[in-house]
Amino acid sequence: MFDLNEKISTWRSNLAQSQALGSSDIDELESHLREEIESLKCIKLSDEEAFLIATYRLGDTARLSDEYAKINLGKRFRQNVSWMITGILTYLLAAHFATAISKGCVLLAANSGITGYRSLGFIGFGSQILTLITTFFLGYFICRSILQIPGFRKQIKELTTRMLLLTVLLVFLIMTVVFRAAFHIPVPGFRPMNIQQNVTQALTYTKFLWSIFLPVILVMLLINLRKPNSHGVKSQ
Amino acid sequence: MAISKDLVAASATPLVLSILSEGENYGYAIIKRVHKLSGGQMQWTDGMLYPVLHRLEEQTLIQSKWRESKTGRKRKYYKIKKEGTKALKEQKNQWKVVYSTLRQLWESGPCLT
Repeated sequence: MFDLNEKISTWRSNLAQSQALGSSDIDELESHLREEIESLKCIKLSDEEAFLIATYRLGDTARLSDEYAKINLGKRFRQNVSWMITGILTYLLAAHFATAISKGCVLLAANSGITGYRSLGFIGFGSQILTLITTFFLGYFICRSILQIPGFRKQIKELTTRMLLLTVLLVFLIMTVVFRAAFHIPVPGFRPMNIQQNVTQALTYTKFLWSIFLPVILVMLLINLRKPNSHGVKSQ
Repeated sequence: MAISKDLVAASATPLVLSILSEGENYGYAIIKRVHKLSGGQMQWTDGMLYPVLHRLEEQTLIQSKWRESKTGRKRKYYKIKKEGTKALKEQKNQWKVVYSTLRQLWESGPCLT
């Protein structure tokens, strides 16, 4: 038995796979489809025949999604930029949170009798790592659950390889600087007089590296998000 | 005789704006009207009209609103804006130039000398 509503909802979910079409776009197409089916049934066609002809006339889903991508791309890009800004603000928030925790740890350590710049340096480094992890999970949670960005899992997957490479490089560089400071190996370009200067120098280098890598990562994300992704739709 | 794809695409904007200048309308009815006026010779793939409508809306030439029709069906109605009327006037002039150029060439007949 041919169930028209079921067929239409399958057709809808097929279209929904495309990032180029919003739910309002699909509503409009469905309204058109139903109107066409009605008029075809007036000339004594069955539900099944009317559905087949109407979907054929409306056009192949892959081509439809290509056409919509041309229009919605600019809109989507602006949307993505606003998500980016949200992301940066989230990062700043997480960074302040981590700094507060690390300051608290330092105070606690000093009160418990633990002193020495080396341990304090490690607490600072730990807080940076904490920031990274918190930001990632917070961002992931917000994007998945609250914003419900379509195709988010796929985007993450595509980005993972590149991001992993960058992260490994970044962590390696930070570790190098921090360990050099920790084991009194002078960092090129500056000969520290004592361990305090050494830690200060290491932190300065870390901040410098962050300021280089953050924009690079952001630009890469933006380039990646700009690409139209309209071929995620099955052809009928 | 079917009109070529390029020509259909090029004429989409003036067609839509002209139909909307007669009063607000929705996608399905716009397609049916073009089909009828052209005697069935202008064949659009129905779905392709909507990206055109959305582009015109983005250019603020038209505006849209979801509304329930008398039969209870929800439809998205499009309405031409002031800027749209202006753009249509411009388009009309352009098409007139193209049409008059072609007509002069065709009416004078082929020049064989």
